[in-house]
Amino acid sequence: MQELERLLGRERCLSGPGQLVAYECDALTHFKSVPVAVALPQTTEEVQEVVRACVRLGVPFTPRGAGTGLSGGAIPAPGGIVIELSLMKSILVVDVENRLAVVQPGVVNAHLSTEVGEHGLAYAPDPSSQIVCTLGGNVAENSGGPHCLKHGATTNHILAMRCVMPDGEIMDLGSPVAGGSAGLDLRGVMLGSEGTLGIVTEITCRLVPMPERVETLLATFDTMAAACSSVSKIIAAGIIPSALEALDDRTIAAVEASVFRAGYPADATAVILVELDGHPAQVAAERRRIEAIFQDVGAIGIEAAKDADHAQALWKGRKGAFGAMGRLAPDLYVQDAVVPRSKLPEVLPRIGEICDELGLQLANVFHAGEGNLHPNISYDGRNAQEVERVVEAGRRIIDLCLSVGGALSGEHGIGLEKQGFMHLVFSADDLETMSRVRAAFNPGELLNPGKVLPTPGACAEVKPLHQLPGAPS
Amino acid sequence: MIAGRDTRTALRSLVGDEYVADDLATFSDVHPASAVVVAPATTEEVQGVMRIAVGAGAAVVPVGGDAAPRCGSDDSRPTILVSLSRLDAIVEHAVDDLVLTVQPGLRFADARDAVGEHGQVVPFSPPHAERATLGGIVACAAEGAVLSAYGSVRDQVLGMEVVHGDGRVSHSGGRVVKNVTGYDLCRLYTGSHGVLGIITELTLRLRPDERSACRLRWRFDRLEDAWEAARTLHHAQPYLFALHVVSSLGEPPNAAVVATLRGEEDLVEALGDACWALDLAAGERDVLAPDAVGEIDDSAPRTGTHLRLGVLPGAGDHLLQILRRRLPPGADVVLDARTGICDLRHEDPAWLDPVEEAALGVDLEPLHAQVDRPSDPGFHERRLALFPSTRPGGANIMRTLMTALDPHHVLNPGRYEVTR
Ligand SMILES: Cc1cc2nc3c(=O)[nH]c(=O)nc-3n(C[C@H](O)[C@H](O)[C@H](O)COP(=O)(O)OP(=O)(O)OC[C@H]3O[C@@H](n4cnc5c(N)ncnc54)[C@H](O)[C@@H]3O)c2cc1C
Repeated sequence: MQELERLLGRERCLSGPGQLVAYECDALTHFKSVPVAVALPQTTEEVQEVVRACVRLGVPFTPRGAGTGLSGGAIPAPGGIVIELSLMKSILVVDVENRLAVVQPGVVNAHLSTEVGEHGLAYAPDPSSQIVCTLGGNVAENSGGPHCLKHGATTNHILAMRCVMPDGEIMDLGSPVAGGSAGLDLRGVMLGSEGTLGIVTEITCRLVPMPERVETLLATFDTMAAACSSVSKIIAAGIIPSALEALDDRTIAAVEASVFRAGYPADATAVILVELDGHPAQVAAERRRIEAIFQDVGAIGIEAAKDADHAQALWKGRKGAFGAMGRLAPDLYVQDAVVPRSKLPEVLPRIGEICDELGLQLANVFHAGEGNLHPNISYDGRNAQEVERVVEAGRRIIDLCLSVGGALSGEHGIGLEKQGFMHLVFSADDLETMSRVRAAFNPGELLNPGKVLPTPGACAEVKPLHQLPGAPS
Repeated sequence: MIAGRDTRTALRSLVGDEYVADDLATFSDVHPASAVVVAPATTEEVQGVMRIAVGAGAAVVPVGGDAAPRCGSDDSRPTILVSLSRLDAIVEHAVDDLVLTVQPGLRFADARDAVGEHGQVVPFSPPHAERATLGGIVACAAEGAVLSAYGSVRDQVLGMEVVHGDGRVSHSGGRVVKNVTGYDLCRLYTGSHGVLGIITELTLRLRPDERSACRLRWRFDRLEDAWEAARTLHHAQPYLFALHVVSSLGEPPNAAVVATLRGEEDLVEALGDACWALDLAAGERDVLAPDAVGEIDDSAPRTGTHLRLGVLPGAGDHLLQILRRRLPPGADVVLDARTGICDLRHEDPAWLDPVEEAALGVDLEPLHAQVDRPSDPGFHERRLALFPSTRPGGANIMRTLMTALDPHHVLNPGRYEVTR
């Protein structure tokens, strides 16, 4: 603590118990661990100094952006400190000619698009948490968002970055030039590494021109299976909308009863929200084909946003869905898994059955076009039996998704939450390879230890670990 | 140096006599090489080859379609060339998911034809498109004309199986289009030129084939005017599929701008009209078939020299000026105006000497550059002079990674300047 105060001054070091408790978890509130201190550096060099001090003193350190992560990635190791990057929030360069920006990691996702909007440009990846989450956190999680279907997730938009490595060295990875930099793609491995390979202190990202035309459609269905089948058919027909999202009746009810009210039809069992962007001629042709598919699978209503305000309202409901569901019960478990798009009609009803069998309240809102599911279960964490059933449901949902060729996480990451499931996807040799890669970057494991790869015992003091899906028992 | 008798015997008993040879031509239509060649048919056999190599202290050089030069080989060690020609199956084409799983030796052209039947495309446009294999394209991250429309080679790889230098096999990614489970090692392996392992299976994202396509060409007397026109088009028409400046740096200078249009029929028509309406101060202009100006789609020559440079797209004019000033005349240039990737081809294998390469490097700080001479099998790709200095720490991590995944240093030794 003294060392941190010497480096950053008193105001940018937090150590009071009241201050520290805010850092005990991220948006996955099951896991809790209070840091011994929080450092708030403002420059790459300050991050470097803090990291060097940690290395000298053998103290574990965990980077943190806005703390909206949903897999426990920003939770400090026992006895460790948090390095919060939210004060590093400058946009350093906007290069309109080459359509790129250089930013600090604490820049809030939505802020970047707002700032470059005057040049007719935008930063494409748009996680639903975009008005709060930071680009550093996005890079660390390789975050997705509704519009990543057509435009790609974070990794597709990050050209280069400056990092403070676990030993305190400053390193530049990647290159703003297409075709890449020399040698191995260390940038690519750093993306999505959940803060375990280096601390990102500067980010060079791609900007995209604002589309000439945007059209937003809402299709209503009386079964989730029909809604999913429309999604599978759109993909199979070779149409790639910019967004293709699904919401079920429980989510719709929650949204409509909240401040995120979007005017979704009250009688719908499921809605599909589609956005098309691009050249007006392409958009018009794709819209015709998509409407035909909706009719074909028996949509009970198809509505097009009348204007930009209407479209914004429809999106407000989608992006506010998690927040709206938070009101349904004291706790919300947000699952994140992926299935092949063609399997959606088969998988969604089965997830419903799992939750019915266990007597749990399920609501679905998900990135349907990518097969990225978010079954959300509302529960009361004070009811131990109910928690157990939530854990069981999570486990069964994952088994189901993996059994049809899916993946453990589409965008929220592994963090602390899903380490225990990694062996379901990867062999011992697969995990050994990943741990060798981690060791090449982070040999001492002082940087964000105990995340991503199963390391039984590493987080033994983090409680209540035993309550979680996949936790080592 | 040629691998010894014991190595051969071990390889023969592993894969069968007929799949071990002294001549690469046995398994591929490309030039022979003086090393023992083995053609394994399964991942397990590739693992076996690796273990034999470790035991014999031999180097292992994987070969796909032999479209990329086997640069940097270390001749002081016995070498086992691993031909992937028998690992050439389509494992699964999930048509409705637009996902393709293949073995590495499958030729791009064969994959293209197979998925083409379903109205889909493999989103690559590699040099030597007819003989390049998917494993080779991914191992070299061989970018091409579709980069600005579809994204990079790395962006298309969803999953991989790799046999490492110690014979261990490992997997990363999966078969779905969105996945953040564990570290993204697919990106690390893509473009690693086989120094971390031999790819034995690959899952790729496919794209729907566009319904309509054509090329528009404007001709110019001056390269500068062509560049100006390309930038005007780039800013006015964000929905072009691709945009290139094509020229031969000779006298009299000639240059053309070629815009590729792909998409729904209405789009292609509307874009064509909008492009024609722009005043680009060009000479002649014409509408071409989508595969006309073939050098755009396949940048590599069959013979001669191929140099690839990359700059920020806005620096394209600067690049062209330097090329004209510095380079001996006569090279054909294809500059992707949206990505800044520039391919130069010349019939003469000796066209570019190291001095000029170095001079280019200083002026441009090109972040990507490689030279290849297909007509000259003895020539090894020269990266040193042109590559930017990787920060020492980056080189350290690369070296550590190479040792971690290839502890006995058998894989493609000498391939990277980052020597171990
Ligand atoms: C309501 C809600 C909606 C969400 N919607 C989406 C969505 O649509 N798509 C999606 O992908 N995610 C979504 N998320 C999850 C979350 O917002 C993202 O993972 C986001 O990228 C986290 O950013 P953050 O700044 O909050 O990072 P944090 O939570 O602070 O940190 C996340 C991880 O990144 C690491 N980290 C942070 N900064 C750095 C840095 N500079 N260098 C290295 N490592 C760093 C941390 O150690 C941690 O492991 C949602 C979350 C909520 C609460």
